[in-house]
Amino acid sequence: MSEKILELKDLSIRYTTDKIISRAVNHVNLSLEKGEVLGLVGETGAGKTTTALSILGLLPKYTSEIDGEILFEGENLVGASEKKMRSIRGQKISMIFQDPMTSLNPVYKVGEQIGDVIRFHNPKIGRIEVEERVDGILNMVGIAPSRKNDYPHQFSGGMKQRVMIAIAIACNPDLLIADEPTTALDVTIQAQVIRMMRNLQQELGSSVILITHDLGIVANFCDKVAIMYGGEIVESGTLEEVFDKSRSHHPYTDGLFGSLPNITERTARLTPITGLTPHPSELPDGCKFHPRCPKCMDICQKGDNPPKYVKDSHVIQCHLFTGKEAQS
Amino acid sequence: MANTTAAAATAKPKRTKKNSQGREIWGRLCHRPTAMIALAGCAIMLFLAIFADLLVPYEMAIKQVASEKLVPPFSPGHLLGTDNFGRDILARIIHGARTALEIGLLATAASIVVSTILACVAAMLGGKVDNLIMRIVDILSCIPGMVTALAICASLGNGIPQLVTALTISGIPMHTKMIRSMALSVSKKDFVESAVALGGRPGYIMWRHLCPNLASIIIINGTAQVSINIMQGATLGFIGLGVKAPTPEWGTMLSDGLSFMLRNQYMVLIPGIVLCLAALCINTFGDCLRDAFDPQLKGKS
Repeated sequence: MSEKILELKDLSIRYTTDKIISRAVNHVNLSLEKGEVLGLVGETGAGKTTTALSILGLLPKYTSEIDGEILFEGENLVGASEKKMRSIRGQKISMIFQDPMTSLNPVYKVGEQIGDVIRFHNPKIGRIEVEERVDGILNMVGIAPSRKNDYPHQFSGGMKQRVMIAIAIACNPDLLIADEPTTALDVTIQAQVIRMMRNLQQELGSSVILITHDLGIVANFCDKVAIMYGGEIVESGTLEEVFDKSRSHHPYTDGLFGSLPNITERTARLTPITGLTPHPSELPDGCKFHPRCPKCMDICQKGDNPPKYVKDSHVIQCHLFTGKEAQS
Repeated sequence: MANTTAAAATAKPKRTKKNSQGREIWGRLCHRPTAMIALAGCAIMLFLAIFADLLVPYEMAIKQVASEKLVPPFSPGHLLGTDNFGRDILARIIHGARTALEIGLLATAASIVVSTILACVAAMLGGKVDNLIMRIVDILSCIPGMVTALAICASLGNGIPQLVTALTISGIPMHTKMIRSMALSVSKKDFVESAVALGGRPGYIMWRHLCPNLASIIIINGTAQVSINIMQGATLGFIGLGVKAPTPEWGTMLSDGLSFMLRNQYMVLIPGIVLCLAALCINTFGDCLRDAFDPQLKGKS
C-alpha cells in the first residue's frame, strides 16, 4: 500500500496570453499512493482542472509553462515526449470528463467508442476479443451489453456518464482522474454514479483523483483530501483529519464547511465566504486568501506564502498556526 | 430522456424501425417537390452519362457526314439536328454529359479530399503547421480560379486530366478554408479532447472524430462544387482550352455554334439550355440537401 504512484513536486503552471500571465497553479505538492482516493476540492478557478490536465500532458502547447516535477511511478512526466504520453494516456492514467453529454462522439455507437480505446493500446488484439472485453466493461458499469449498439443520444445523462467511466477504465488504468464527474448529473444519479465508482475502484484497486467542489461526495468516496485555493493547496490530510471539526483548520476550509447546510441543526441562513475568487492573473501578495479571510492579520498581507503547519499528515498553510501548537 | 432511462432500466431496448439520420434526411428531401425534380434531373444526367454507349453509339457523336450538314431539329434520323460537320447533336449532348460529369465529379472529389486532409491537419496540429498551410492556401486563393485553370491548360495542353487538375487546384482554397473553420470548432469539442486524453493518435482522431462530423459541410460544398466545375469546364471548352477536338463537350459545342448563330440558333440553344438545366438541377439539389441536413436553417433564409 505504501507505494507512491503519483507525486507532484513544487508544480507551478502559468498560462501566458499576450500580456497577461495567469498563475493557475502555484507550488503544489501532492502525493498519492496505490489504491488511494484523493479528493481535490476547490472553487471554480482554483486550478484543479489545470493540475489534472498537466498530469496527462494535455495543457495547451504554446501558451502554458510548467515548472516542477510530476513523478508517475518514479518517472518525470514534465517534458516527456508526445509518444510516451500517448502510451500513458488511457492505458496507465485515464480521465473522466465533466460533461458526459458532449464527451461522447455523437456519430458512433458506444460499443465502438469503448472498443477504440482498447484497440489504441492493444493494436494486435482480435475483433472478437475486443467485443468480449467491451461486454465485460459494460457489465461492470451496470449497462446491459446489448446496448452497446446504441448511439450516445439514446442514453440518459447518468447512463452516458457510465459509458464515459467504462471508456476510462477500459484498459485498467493505474490512476483515474475524475474531473467533476457528477456535476452535470442530478443528485440521485450522482449518488448512483459515485457508489458505482467506489465499487469499481475497490474492485480494480486503482488510485483515483477526484476533482470536485462537493464536500459530500468527498466524504463518501475519498481517503485523502486536498483543498485548493488560488492555485495552492491550502490544506491537505486524510479524510478524518480534514473533516474533523474538533481540529483546527485553514480559514478557507472552515468557510467551505460553514457554507454547507447541516441536517442536524436548524439554520436560517448559511454563512457564505465573502468576496470572489481572485482571477489567477491578479493573485494578491502574501496569503492568497487574505482579502476574504475573516481572521486576516497584518502579516498575511505581505511577503511570500505563509509557512506550513504540519501535524502528522495534516498540512495547513496559514499564519494562524505558526509558532503555536494547534489545539487538538 | 425519460424513455431512454426506462429502456435502460428494463435493459430491453426496443428494436423498432431503425431511425437513422440518413433515413431522416431522405424523408425531408421527399417532402420537397423542388428537391425531387432536381434529383430527377441529376438522375437523368447520371443515367445518360453511364449508359451513353447503349443509347447512342459513340461513333454517332463524332462521325462527320458531309451530306447531312446543319440539318434542323426534328428531322428524321436527327431529333436535335446536326452541326456544321454533320454530327448528330443529340448524340453529342448525350456523350457530352459523360464528359461533363467526368470533369465535374473527378475534380470535385479530388479537391474535396485534398482540402479535407489539409483542413484537418491544420485544425488538429495548429500553430506553425496551421499557419503554413493556411498561408499557402491564401496564396492560391489570390489567383483567380479561372486564371489558374487557364495557366495549367495552356502549359499542359488540352485533355480531361489537365482540365481535372486545373479545376481541382482552383477549388482547393475555398474548401480548405470552409472545412477548416468547421474542423476547428469540432476539434475543440469535448469528445475530441477526451479521445486525446485516452491516448488516441492524431491520425485516428482526424479519421474517426473529425471527418464524420464534417460530413455535412463536405457534402454540401461538394454538390455546389460539381456544378461550378461543370460550368468552368464548359467555359474552358468555350474558349478552346477544354478537351481535345472531336470529343463531345457542351462548352465546345457552344463555341462551335457561335459562328452559325444567326441562321441556325439551335446549335447554340441546345447545348446552352442543357448546360443551364444541368447546373440548375445540381445546384438546387445541393441547396435542398443543405436544408435537409440542417432543418433549423430552413425558413430562416
